[in-house]
Amino acid sequence: MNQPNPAQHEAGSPLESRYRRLLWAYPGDYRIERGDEIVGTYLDTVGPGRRWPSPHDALDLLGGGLRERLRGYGALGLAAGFPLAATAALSTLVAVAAFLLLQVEFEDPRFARLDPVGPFQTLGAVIWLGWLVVGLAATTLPGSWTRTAAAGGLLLTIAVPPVAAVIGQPGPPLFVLVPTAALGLVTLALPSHPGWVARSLPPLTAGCVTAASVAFSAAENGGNMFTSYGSTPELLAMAGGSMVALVLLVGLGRALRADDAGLWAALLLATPAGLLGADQLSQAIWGTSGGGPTSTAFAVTAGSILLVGAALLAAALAGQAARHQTVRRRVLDSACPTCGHRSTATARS
Amino acid sequence: MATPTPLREPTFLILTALAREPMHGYGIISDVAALSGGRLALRPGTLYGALDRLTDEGLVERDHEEVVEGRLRRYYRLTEAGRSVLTAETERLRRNVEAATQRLQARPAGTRTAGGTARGPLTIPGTTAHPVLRPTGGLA
Repeated sequence: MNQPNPAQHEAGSPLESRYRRLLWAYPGDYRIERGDEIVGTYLDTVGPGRRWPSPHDALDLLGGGLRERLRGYGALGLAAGFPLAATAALSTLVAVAAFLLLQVEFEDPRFARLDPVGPFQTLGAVIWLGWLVVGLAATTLPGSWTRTAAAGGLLLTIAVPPVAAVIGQPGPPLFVLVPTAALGLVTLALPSHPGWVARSLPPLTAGCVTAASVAFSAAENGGNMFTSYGSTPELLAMAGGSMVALVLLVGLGRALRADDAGLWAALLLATPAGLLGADQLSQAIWGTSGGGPTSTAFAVTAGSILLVGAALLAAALAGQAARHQTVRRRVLDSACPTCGHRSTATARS
Repeated sequence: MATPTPLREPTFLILTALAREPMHGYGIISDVAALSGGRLALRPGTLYGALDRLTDEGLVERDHEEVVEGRLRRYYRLTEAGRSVLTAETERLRRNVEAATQRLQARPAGTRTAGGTARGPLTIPGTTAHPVLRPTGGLA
């Protein structure tokens, strides 16, 4: 059992060089200390004739490197927060998709003064149907398959606008597409082994939103509050705010048990949530032109939200790293009150 | 005393692999695959992350290292704390298995089973009967 794979690769082979290149994801001192061991183990596990690391190997090394860097900062909770954030992001996407599909895409295209795309107002219906399928996959399929489906949903979100432009069909506006792409990016971190909560949330949110949409339509009694994408910015902003508030609530609950993953997840979701409210924020700051903000105003607002989100994350990481170093130094400096022993463990920063 | 958190399966199997003798990375990966019947395929990036965490927690420590055909092999072994945690987790799982086994064997007479009676599930002639789990009141 302890014998290595008989397939041998010469030292300095192209495969070994490529594995070593991927080791750059790890911190420098860790790479020096463990690099030979990790690459040696990889070479033991691969079959003969392989020249390139597999995509799974590359992801494994990049993920391992990121985790090691976060461990150095004492911020492993951020790594644990990604699957939580991804679960919340997918549930929000499913809710938004169900709502926009029912309340906008199925509406009479004359409200939006658009040429219809089949039974829908725009090609955006393809995106929303795609995310509903991803939600279904999250409920029924293994985690790795769901991540692949989420990658498909993200590609669809990015691909539809240029396709719509090329074939001359209407697509959803940027203030809907940008936060959808941001949330889609977060869903790539969906858990490998989702629990029953993660599996239940997408159908639950889709069901609730569908019921609310039907009830809303009935209550309108012929009125049309949501007739096009232009009538949805407030609702998108509310969806973003609710998502962060709920995750923050869960995070505070987990923090009581010394688990900060939920708080990191809330911080990760702050940027997509901000983008969901970018149209409203843009209107509040720059004013409106023809019923909404200008493209430039929206781009500046969305760019600022991205920068603020990145700065917040960097500041939180720096704060956590400083706190971690202080605690570690105190532990290393302190002697056992009984025997006077001092820890000889070396700090890996 | 606070109840210890149950170990996740990969952690449990890594500790189990190290219970018999010190092992290097490839040995642990192979052993975990064998112990899980091929279901759990650890990759080195994930394994070394787990070993670092277990080392930080004092459950695993480095044993010795050697160079074989130009490749560094570092061996890891269980610490006493690691052995205690593995023993406690094994005991917890054993109690769960025993409780489940007893409940399954002590099914009261007259209990209706899904698709049949206490005498056994309904079978269609010419087919093999398999245990079936169906929600009560389902469409089946």
